[in-house]
Amino acid sequence: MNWRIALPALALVALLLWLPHSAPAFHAMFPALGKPVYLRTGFGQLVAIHAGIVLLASATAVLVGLAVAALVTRPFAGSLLPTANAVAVVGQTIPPVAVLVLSVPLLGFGAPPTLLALTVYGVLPVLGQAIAGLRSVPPDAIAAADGMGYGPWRRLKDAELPLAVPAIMSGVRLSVIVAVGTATIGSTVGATTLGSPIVEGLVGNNPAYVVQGALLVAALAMLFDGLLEWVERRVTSRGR
Amino acid sequence: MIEFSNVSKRFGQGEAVDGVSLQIASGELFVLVGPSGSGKSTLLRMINRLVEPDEGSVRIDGKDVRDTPATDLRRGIGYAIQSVGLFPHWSVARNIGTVPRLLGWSNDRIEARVQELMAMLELDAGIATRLPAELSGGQQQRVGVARAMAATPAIVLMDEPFGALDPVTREKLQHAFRRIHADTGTTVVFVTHDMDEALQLGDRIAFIDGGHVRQCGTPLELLLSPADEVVRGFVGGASAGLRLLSVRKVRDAMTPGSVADGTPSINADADLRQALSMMVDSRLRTLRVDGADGQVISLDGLLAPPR
Repeated sequence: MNWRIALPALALVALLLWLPHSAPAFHAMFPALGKPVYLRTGFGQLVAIHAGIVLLASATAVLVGLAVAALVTRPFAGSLLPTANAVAVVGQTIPPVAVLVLSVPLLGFGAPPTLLALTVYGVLPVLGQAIAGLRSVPPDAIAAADGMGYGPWRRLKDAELPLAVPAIMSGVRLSVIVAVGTATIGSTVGATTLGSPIVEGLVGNNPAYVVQGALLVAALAMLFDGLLEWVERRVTSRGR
Repeated sequence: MIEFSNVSKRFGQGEAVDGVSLQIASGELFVLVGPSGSGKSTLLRMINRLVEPDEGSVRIDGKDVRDTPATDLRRGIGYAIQSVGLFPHWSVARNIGTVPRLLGWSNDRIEARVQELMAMLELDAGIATRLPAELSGGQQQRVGVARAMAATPAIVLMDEPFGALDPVTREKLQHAFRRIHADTGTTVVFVTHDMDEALQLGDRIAFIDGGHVRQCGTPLELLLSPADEVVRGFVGGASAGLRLLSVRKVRDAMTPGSVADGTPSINADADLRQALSMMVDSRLRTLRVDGADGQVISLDGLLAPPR
């Protein structure tokens, strides 16, 4: 039994079952509120949309990050390496909300700018970690692979990427967790996510909505982290 | 046969080579020996095209290596290096089976071959599932040699494969490797900077210095008639006499004779250095030779000019 998956999953399910019937509890906490439970969109639907946006954006980000990292670590593209590294490092100092704001003029309001911002921002940790991981592959292993007749593609697939997996996975975990949090901000530009009750609660002076959204986001983030930790252990374990 | 014809490599990565011509016969254990930076590794790496010569050609059985795609060529040639370069994320068995897997062998065939190689290199079958980091340096090196020989290549290239080992482990591996070479008939090209290792292993030795072949011949030829002062300096020195003894066998210097009962005996395939050591140890001038009736090895036999 993996408690790092089971506990957040249980918490998430319990919240989804309890929140629709939580009006008395929130009424007791915030007696001044007329509508103590968020009802505009079902909580289950919010979680599904939120998770969907995160998964789609993260999957794209991981693929793009890995592809770019693999490309710039090839000898023929060596001149691109410092640039890619700088983008990965400096890019992460830009707050995600800035990326979000910049993508609104391109794609308008709603889910699309959120997806774009999450994807662009999610590429950076994957890219940085994958470059670091690929560059730390022992040169002996590469020399041996060349000497035994590995082609460049096969060498990347069988030797370099597996050896870089620990670094890559730490980048993927960081990327996904940041995306879970950042997706809530997507509600400020009109995307329906778990950020919707939070934003509406903040704007409408309704702390109960904020608590409800925050609890679900926290449970979802921990669930993703637990799942990714499990994936990480699977792919780095021996027996290959 | 491997044939270097007037091969040169001026600069770029690695050591320079200048107009080298060499012929390495099939089944031979051929040693390239020389100081660091002499060009010996560059020569070795030209055989599997890890280095391309600027001038001249390298041919294997008459065919220019450039006529075969590099990956195909390399899969047909074993390659072992000093740093071993085992894949740290793969088990011992999977590492050994690397090239057969590249060549598309069936899993059963790979597994059988891996077991055979582990037995041949005296590796305990129990370590097949371990990772390289869990092995001793000597075991890693044995795995490296097993991997180089996995696909039964006709040619095996070895670049200082035993260089990083302690003397005792190295000597054990040298003996094991000499035996394996004799059993399999593989052509081996072996690079080392250690003259004792070269003399111990080589059927023939090419002494490389400054990108040139200074001398090429059997160990005995290098010891008895070094081509110039550089070679003399390398093969000679304080232990020249002992080296001369170490490359000759008891079988080559034994003479008819008789010894008192109870005299210690030595194997006919032992080298003369071991015979001398036994004489000193037992304070005797003459030893019995195992399995050769009426033959003895004497101190005079050791001192007699090689025949």
